[in-house]
Amino acid sequence: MSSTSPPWVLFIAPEFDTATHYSKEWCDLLVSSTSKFVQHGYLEGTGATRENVERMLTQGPSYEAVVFYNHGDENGLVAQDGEGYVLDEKNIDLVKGKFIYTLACLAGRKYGVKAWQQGCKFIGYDDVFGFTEDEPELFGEAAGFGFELWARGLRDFKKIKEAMIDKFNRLIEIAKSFWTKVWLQHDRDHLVVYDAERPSSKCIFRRLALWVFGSFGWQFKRWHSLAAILFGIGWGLTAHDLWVEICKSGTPWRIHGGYIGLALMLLSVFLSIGIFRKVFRNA
Amino acid sequence: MDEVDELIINYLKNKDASWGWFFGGTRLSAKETIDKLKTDKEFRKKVKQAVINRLMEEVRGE
Repeated sequence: MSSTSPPWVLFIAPEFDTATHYSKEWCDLLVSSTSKFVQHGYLEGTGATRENVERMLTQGPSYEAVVFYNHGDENGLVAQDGEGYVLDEKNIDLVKGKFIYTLACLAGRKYGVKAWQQGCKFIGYDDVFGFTEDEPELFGEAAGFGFELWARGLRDFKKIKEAMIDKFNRLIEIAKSFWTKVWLQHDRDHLVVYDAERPSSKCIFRRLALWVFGSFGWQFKRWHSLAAILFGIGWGLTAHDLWVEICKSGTPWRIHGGYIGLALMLLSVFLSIGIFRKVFRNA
Repeated sequence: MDEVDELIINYLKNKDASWGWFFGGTRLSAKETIDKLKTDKEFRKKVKQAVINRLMEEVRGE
């Protein structure tokens, strides 16, 4: 028998409109279905404010996970009455290294990525979470399944993601309404599990940085891209100028020092990339 | 609006007044969904893509 005590989990479920009646109900069910496996704090309804969340995370027990059932957007998880966020980039230090589980719309886009950069595991959605009133219980079941597995001790996030997708697929099969099937599939396709997968990016520079440096590529700022562009422009201008000057002398095919210098610069960049790839991908 | 949009609208026209669903936390009745499909290009694109994805998967599964 294990002597370790069950992990502490902070559940947060504001309730202030029709959609949040459903999400609050699903959260209640999740709290009761996992109560044997985790110890919990629960901020519900009017108690689900930023102040209370920050107080619980700083003064309460050492929470391993935060479960959030309510609205969200790219920037964070929305507080009671839609007044700001309970969690966003400004208080992201409070969830450093924890597991964040949410059905909030869009949070997987920016907030989830930021949280993951802070060492969090994050399960959420990178688009709107749609559901129908025909069979809302199916969406509640699908949305909570990953956390149920975590509460029961599964810590392999790849397996959690696979199991969640299987669950969505089973629910799509048994759903009666076509519209329910459409939105279960949509939610399934926008499920993100940061740890089982690395966040992707539409930005070409970010993608290049992720390819070269692995997850460390998320640390780069815009000015790093600017630096790379400036290097490219500087190198190109120098190469062009060198070519023009050498052509003037009439012997462009002779090996000049300028060629060697530019070649050495390129070689050093490629060597650096190779070294960085090894260092950061193994980090 | 194309034929797929028209098909989606016709499908929704058969829903009764009490029917509703949630898109990004907003409840939409069938009529509200149809109105939004007619006026909101981004919404129309997203709904159409979701429906097409479902149909594609159903076809692949058969």
